[in-house]
Amino acid sequence: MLRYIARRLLQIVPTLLGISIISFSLLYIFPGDPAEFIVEARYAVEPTQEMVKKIRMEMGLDRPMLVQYLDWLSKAVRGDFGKSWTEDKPVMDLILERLPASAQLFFTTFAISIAFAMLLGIISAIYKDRAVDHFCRIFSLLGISIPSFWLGLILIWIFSVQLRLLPAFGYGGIEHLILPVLTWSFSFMAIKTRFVRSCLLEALSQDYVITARAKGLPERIVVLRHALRNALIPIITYFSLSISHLIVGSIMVEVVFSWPGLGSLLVESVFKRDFPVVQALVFISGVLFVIVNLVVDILYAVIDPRIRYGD
Amino acid sequence: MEFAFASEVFRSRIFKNNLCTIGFGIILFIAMLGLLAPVIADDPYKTNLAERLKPPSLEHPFGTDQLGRDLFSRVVHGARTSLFVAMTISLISMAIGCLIGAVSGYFGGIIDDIIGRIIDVFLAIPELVFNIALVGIFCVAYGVSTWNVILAVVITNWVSYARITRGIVLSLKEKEFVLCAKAIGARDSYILLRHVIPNAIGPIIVLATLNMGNVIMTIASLGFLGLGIQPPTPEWGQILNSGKNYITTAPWITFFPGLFIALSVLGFNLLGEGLRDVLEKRTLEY
Amino acid sequence: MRLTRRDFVKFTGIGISTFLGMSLLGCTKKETFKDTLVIGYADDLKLRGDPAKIDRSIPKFCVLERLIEYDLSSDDFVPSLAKKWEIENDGKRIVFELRKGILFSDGTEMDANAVKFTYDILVVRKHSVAPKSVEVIDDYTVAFNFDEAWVLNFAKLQDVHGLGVMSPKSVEPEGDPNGTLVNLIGTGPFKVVEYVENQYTVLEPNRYWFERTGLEPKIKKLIVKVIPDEDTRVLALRSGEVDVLIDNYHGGYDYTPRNQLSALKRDGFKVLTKNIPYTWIVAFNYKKEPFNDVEMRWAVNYAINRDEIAKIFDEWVRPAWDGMFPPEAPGMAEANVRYEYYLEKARDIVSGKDVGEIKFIVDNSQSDQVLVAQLVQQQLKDVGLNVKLETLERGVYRDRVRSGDYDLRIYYIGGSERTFYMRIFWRFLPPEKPWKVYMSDNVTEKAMAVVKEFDKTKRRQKFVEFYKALYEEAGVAPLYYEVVAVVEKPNVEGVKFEYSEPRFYSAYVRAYA
Repeated sequence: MLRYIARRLLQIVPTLLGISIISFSLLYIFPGDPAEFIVEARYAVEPTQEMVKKIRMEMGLDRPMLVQYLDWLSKAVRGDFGKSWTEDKPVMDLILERLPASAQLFFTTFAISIAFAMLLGIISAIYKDRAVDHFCRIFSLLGISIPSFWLGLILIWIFSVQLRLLPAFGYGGIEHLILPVLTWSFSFMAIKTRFVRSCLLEALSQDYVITARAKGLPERIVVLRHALRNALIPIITYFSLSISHLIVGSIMVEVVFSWPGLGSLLVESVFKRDFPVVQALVFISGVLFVIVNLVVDILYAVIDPRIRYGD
Repeated sequence: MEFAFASEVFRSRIFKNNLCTIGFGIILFIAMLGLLAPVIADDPYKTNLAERLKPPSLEHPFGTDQLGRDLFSRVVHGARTSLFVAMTISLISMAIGCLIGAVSGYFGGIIDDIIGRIIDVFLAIPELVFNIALVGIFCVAYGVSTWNVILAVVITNWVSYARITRGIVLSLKEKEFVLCAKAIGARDSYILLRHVIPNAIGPIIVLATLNMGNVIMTIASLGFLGLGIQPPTPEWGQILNSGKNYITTAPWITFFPGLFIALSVLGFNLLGEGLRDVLEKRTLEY
Repeated sequence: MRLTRRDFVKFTGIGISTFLGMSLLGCTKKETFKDTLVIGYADDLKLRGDPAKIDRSIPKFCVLERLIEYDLSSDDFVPSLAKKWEIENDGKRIVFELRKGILFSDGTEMDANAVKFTYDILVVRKHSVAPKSVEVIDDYTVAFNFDEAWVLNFAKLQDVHGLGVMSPKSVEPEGDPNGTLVNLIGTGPFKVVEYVENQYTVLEPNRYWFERTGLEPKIKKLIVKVIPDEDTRVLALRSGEVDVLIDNYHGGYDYTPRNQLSALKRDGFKVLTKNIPYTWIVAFNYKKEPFNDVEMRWAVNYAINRDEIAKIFDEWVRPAWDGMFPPEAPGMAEANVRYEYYLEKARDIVSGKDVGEIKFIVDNSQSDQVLVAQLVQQQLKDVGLNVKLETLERGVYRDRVRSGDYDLRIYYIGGSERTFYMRIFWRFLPPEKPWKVYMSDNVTEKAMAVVKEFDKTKRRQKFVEFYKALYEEAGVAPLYYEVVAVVEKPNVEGVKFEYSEPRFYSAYVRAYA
C-alpha cells in the first residue's frame, strides 16, 4: 500500500511542475514590461523611469527568469503568491476572502445535485428505454446544452423581476442562495445523472446480476442491493472528483448572480489586469484537481486491492 | 476495407438513430440559416433609432435591439460567426491534437512520457479558467481580436483530441494487423496513415461533434463575459450580454441569442451521442 | 452654543416648518420612518490603505469637507472650511484663514495642522492636484504654495481627484502623510462606523456637523453597499435590497445605465438628474491623415445626428448642438457656437477627398459608449466614410491612444462642476499626454489665457474666445452632454444634489403602511 502511494505521489510531481510552469509563464507571455503595468495598475499614473525601476527591484523582476521561477514556486507552495498589482494586499488574502462564498455555493449545489442525480440515474436505469428514461436523458442533455448564464438570467427574470420572490443577486441569507444553486445544479446534475445511469446499466449487465435475476429476486432488490452496491465505487469516485470544481467551477453562475466567489474574482482580476491573482487561481485550480485525483485514487486502492497490484 | 466507415449499411444506421437525426436536423437548420443569412436577413449593422427596443413582430420576428437593429438579422449572422469560429477552432485543434496524440502513442518511450505529462497538465487546469486567463492576457498583449479567441481556445482544446488519439493508437499498436505490417517492414508513416488513422477516425468524429458543442459554449461564455468577439460583429454571447441590461424592458434581446446557443449545443450533443451509440454498437458486432 | 444670524434664521425656519409639519400630521395618518438608508454603489470606498485613494463619492462628499468649493452657476470659488483667503505672489501663494470651532467627528478640532497633514498626503505623492508645499502659519492660518500663478490653484484644492480635510488620526502612524489609512475621520455630515472591504460601509450622522448647521439627522444609519455590476445594482433597487442608486462621481462608467432610467421611472422609481459640464465627444487623431485636415473634422461634425444619440438614452441626456460644453458652462451661451447635422455638406467634403479606412476605437468597459460608437459608425458610413469600429479592452485602448494608432475615438471633455477647470488643463494644455484632446497654437493660447485669469468677468470673455477658437478648428465633435443621476425608491425623500454630488444629510425613508 505504502509503495502504491509513494508511486502515485511520484507520478504527480511532473504534472504539478507542469502546472506551475504554465501558471508562472502566464505572466511572461505578453510583450512589455510587467513593472510598467504594475505602476499603472497600482498608482493609476503614467510610469516614470524611476518608479518602474523601483518596482522592478522590489518585485525582483530584474533577475534571470529561472531564478524568478524558482523563487515564485518556492513561495507558491507555501501559499504566498506575492502582492496584488491593483490592491495593497497579498494575493492569498484576496483569494481567502472569496473562498467562503464559493464553498457555500459549491457544497450546496453539490449536495443537491448528487441527491437528484442518484435518484434520476437509478430511475433511468431501472426503466431503461421507457418514457421516464427518455425524459431523464433529454433532461440531462438539456442540462449540458443550456448556457448557465442564460438560464440564470431567465430565472432572474421570472423569480426576481416578475414574481419578486427572490433576490436577484448578492451574498447573504439562504434566499440569496436559491437561484444560483438552482442554475448551477441544472448542469451539474445533468452530467452526474448520465454517469449514474451508465454505471448502473453496466453493473446490471454483469454476471452476478443475471444470477440474482435468475434466482427470481424482484427487480427493485436486484437493482438496489446488487447492482447499485457495485456501481457505487465508480460513482463515488466520480462525485468526489468534482470537488476540484470548488475553486472556479461556477464562473458563469457567479458572474450572473454577482456572487462574490472565486469565479468572479478571476473575471474581475482579468479585467483589472491583476495577473498575479489570475496566475494564482490557475495554479491552485490545477493543483487542486491533481490532489483530489490522487486522494480519490488512493482511497480507491484502499477499497479495492486489485488496483494496487494491477499494474 | 474491413472498417469501411462510409458503407451503406452504416450510413442508414446513422439515420435510423433518432438522436442523430434530430441532432443533425438542428445543426443543418442553424447552418442553413447562417449560410443564407445575407439572403434571408437584413444588414445586421443597420441602426434605426425610431425602431429601437421593439418587441417581436412580423417585420422583426425577434424584435429590435437598443440601436433599433433587427435582432433576427443579428442572431442569424451570429450563427455564421459562432459556427465559423467553432469550426476553425475544432479543425485546428483536431489537426494538432491528433498529430501529437498519434506520435506520442505510436513512438512511445520518452516522447510518450513527455507528451503524456503535458496532456495531464492541460487536463488538470479547468478549461474555462485557462481560457479566461489566456484571453485576458492576449487581450492585453495583442488587443482584442477574433484570432485571439481562437488561439486561446485552441491552446486548451487540442488536449482532448491528443488524449483520445493516443489511447487509440496505444491499443491498436498491439493489434495483429499493425504488428504484421511492422513485420513486413512497412514504414512508420505508412502504418500511421494506412492503419492507425482510419481506425481512429470513428471515435475522433464522435469527439469532434461533441467538442463543437463545447467550443460553441466556450465562445458564447467568453462573449458573455465581454472577453470574446467584440461588437459590432454579431456574436450570440455578446448580444446576450448587451441585452442583460434590458432584461426588464426588452427580454427578447437575451432570449433569442440564448435559445440559439442552447439549440446548437444541443444539436451537436445529440448528434455526438447518437454517433457514439452507432459506433459502440459497431464495435460490439466486430 | 453661540448663535449666528444665519443659524438663527435656520432655527426659526426649522421651528416653523416643524410646527407646520406637526399640524399637518395632526390631521393625516401618523407617518413612520425607517432609520436606515441603503445606497447601492459600484465601487469599494477604499477606506483602508492609501489615504490618497479613497473613493471619489461618499468619503469625499459625506465624510470630508474641503477648504473651498466651486459654484459653476456663478463661476466662483466659495468658502467652506476656509473662511477667507489672500492671494500672494501673483497667485502662486494662497493663505487661508480657517473657520474656528469646527470639530472632527471624534470631537477634536479641525486646525491648520490637520489641513497641512491632509495636503501633505498629496504633496508626498506628487499627486496631479497637489500644491508644491503647505505651511502652517498659526492654528487657523495655513498657506499653500504653487509652482504656477493661475486660477487652477483654487481648482486643485476642491477637485474631485484631491482630498477633503481629514484628521491626522485617520492614519497610522498618526499624522504621517505616508501612513496607512485606518479610520477616515472628517468634519462632514457622516462618520464611518464600519467598513468591510468590497462589501459595505456603515455610516452614522456626525453630531458635530449637525450641531454646527442646526439641522436634524432623519436617519440613524447610512449603508453603502458595493455592487460592481450595473445590472445587478438596478435589480437590487428593484428587489428592494437598496433604497438609492448613485452614480460614480461622473458619467461614463460605474453608473446607472442611462438606457434604463425611463423604465425605472415608469415603474415608479424616482430619477433625479443633474446636468454637469461634461460632454461626450468624438476625439480626432488630429496630428495625422485624414483628420489633420480641418475640413475632414467638419465632415464628421456635419455627419453626426446628435438627436439620435440622445435617443439611445431616452433623452435623459441633451444632444450637444449648442457648443462643446452645455450652455451653463461659463461663457458658453455667449460664445454662440452651433453644430449642425448637414448630410449634403458632409458628403461633399468626403467625396472630394481620397480617404482610406478609418480606425474608430472605443473602450469596451463603457457599455453605453460602445452603443454610441456603433451608431456613430453607421452615421459616418452614411456620408461615405469607410469606418472600422474596434471595441478594445481598456488597457489596449489606452495603449492604442498612447501610440497614436487610431483615427477617431469616443472620449469626453469637462467633468463634474468641481473638475471643470482642471479638465480644461488636462484636455487642452501642454505638455502632450495621451489624455489631451486637441492642441493647436491658437486653441492652447486661448485656453492658457482662461486659466491664467483670476478675475472672473475677464475670464468669461476669455472662455468665449477659447470656445470660438476650438469651434473654428473643429477640434472636437461633441455628441451629448452628460448628467449624473440618482435613482430612488418612491419612499425615499430629501436626497438632493449639491454641486454635482448627491447629499444625504436631509434624506429619510418613509416606511410603507
